[in-house]
Amino acid sequence: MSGNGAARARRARLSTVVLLAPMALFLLAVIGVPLFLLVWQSVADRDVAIGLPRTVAMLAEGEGAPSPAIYPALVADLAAASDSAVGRVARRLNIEKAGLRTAVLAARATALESPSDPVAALQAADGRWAQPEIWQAIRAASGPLTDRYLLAAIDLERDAKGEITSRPTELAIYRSILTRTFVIAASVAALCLALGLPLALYLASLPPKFAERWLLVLMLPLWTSILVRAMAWTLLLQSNGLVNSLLQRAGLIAQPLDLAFNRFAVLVAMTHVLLPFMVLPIYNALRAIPKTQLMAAGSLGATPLQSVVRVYLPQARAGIAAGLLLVLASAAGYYITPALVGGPADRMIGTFVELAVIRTNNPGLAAALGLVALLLFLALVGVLIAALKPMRALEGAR
Amino acid sequence: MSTDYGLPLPRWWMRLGSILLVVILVLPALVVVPISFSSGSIIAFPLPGFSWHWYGEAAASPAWRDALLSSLRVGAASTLIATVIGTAAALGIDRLQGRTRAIVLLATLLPLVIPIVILALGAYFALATVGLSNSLTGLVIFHAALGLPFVTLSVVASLQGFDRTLWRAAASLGASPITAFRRVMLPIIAPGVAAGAIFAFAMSLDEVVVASFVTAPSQRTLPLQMFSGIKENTGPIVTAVATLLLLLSMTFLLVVEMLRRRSRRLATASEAT
Repeated sequence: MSGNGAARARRARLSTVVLLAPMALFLLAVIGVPLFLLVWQSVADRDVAIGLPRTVAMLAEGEGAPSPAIYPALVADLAAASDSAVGRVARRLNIEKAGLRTAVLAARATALESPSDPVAALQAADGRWAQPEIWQAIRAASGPLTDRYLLAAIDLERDAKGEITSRPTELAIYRSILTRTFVIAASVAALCLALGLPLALYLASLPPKFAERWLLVLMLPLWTSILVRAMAWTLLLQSNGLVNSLLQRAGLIAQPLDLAFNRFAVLVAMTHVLLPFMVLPIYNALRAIPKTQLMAAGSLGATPLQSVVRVYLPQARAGIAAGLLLVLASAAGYYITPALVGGPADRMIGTFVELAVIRTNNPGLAAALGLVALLLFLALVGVLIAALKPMRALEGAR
Repeated sequence: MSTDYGLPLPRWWMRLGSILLVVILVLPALVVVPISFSSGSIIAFPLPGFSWHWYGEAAASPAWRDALLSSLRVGAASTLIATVIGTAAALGIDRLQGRTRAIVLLATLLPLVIPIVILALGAYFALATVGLSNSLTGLVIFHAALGLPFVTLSVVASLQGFDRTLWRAAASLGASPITAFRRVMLPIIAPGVAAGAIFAFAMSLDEVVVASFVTAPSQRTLPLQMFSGIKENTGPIVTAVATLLLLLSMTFLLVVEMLRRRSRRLATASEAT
């Protein structure tokens, strides 16, 4: 009998594993692998070593200016490499020193003609091959690992001696963009909490049947395309938009107010998009708390405000934490709304990640920016969890 | 007034504030509707006159038609993957208890709590590694990932109303596990599965960030086409498409609400037996 029961339990466990396995593998493939590659790309520096193996080996032998024997090695490397490998070498050297892309591509064209005198041919193809700087660039980019992207993501670089220094001011933009991103995300989360908490409290005080009708209406914007809502806010807030023309017609203002394409518009539009994500988890948490506790607090002389702050909300911590987490995550990573309704001073880190990887072809920098943003986000989540202790609230509820 | 417990301020204040807030939440999106019927060619009030012109333009434009087709294909394929994996996972989660259950549920939420641009960048790297750069196939995979939590949570919720004795009854009457699943469990969780699938589809139809990272410029999905339409200010044609999307999302919402009610009815019916 017991053997039969044990076999059945084993079979049940096995089928649970079989049911969960596809999701586990899928999440590993779509979350685990991409995050690993993100970290790897932010420090990997293998393009030049793969594309120019002989050249890199020769450069590794000695310091200072290379011997002329390096020219035939470079020609051999460039002739043997595939187009895409050469493209990656050109991209990487261009990051090391702007403009080197053309020098690499000219050298590739020369190499494919198998020149009899590599030194003269390369130097004729592009004068920079006669200068020591290009060899220094190749040496600096020969990998296999680099910290230049991570340093660049926090506005640092290595100088000629290898010491870490600040980047020149015109390139030192990322610290302020990261700060701005998290200031906007935190402001949006605070606004959502300030507006969403009272709404959730009100909904939780209604009989469930009525509350559900409210929730249905609350879900409506959640279903509405985020682009449609961004466009709508522009139409409402721009200088000839609905809000300004109504205010002007009412005689409240003489000149149209600057409402669109600035930080105000970004905060309004993002709070509008994310508010339901704050209300729903808090509402669910409040619903689970017995109302009798509030009555008890009231009968012991607590004012309504006291009983909400001291009895009700502490138990809804898990819901508040979930709402804050969802809003922060969405606000930190979603850059489309600020790009549409904000001005140039409201562009968030996402815009620059996209810029780096898609437009300026610098995946290493994009990965480093993403990694730094992710670490800051995780730190913020850590602070949130330490402050609200949602897990303790969850376990207390059980 | 026992229901006033739990309100920090007098009830009618709270009610007034809540009504105001919900109105502000719902109304702004509707501003695109009148402009879509504008006979003028700029997006602004006041409107010069009424016309269906921009709807005709949208329907006739190959760019918008291709974008819609791409989006529908990506949406359908990613929804299918998310629904199969998510339903299986929900059935698995339903068998778990306590801490394990809480941890697995949290894990299913992962795609939603990683900032989307970081996921999109990771997707870009991962798809480049396996040679799926610039393809709708790659987009399908990652939209399936984003849809997965919706399906899983929706089915887990519908399983909470499922009476396990029905399952055992089917087994004791000689039904194989597959038959029991198909005849007993599936009808009860079907509304939850459908609601989750609609959520996943709607998400895919509105997703811009991952799409802009992993697709080629020639394979614009509907949101990407809208994004460039808004950015480049191409006129009220965008508002016409936006109005159609609003109608679609309202339909989705109503269907999901109907499914939810049906699921609850089935759950109470199964409890009554």
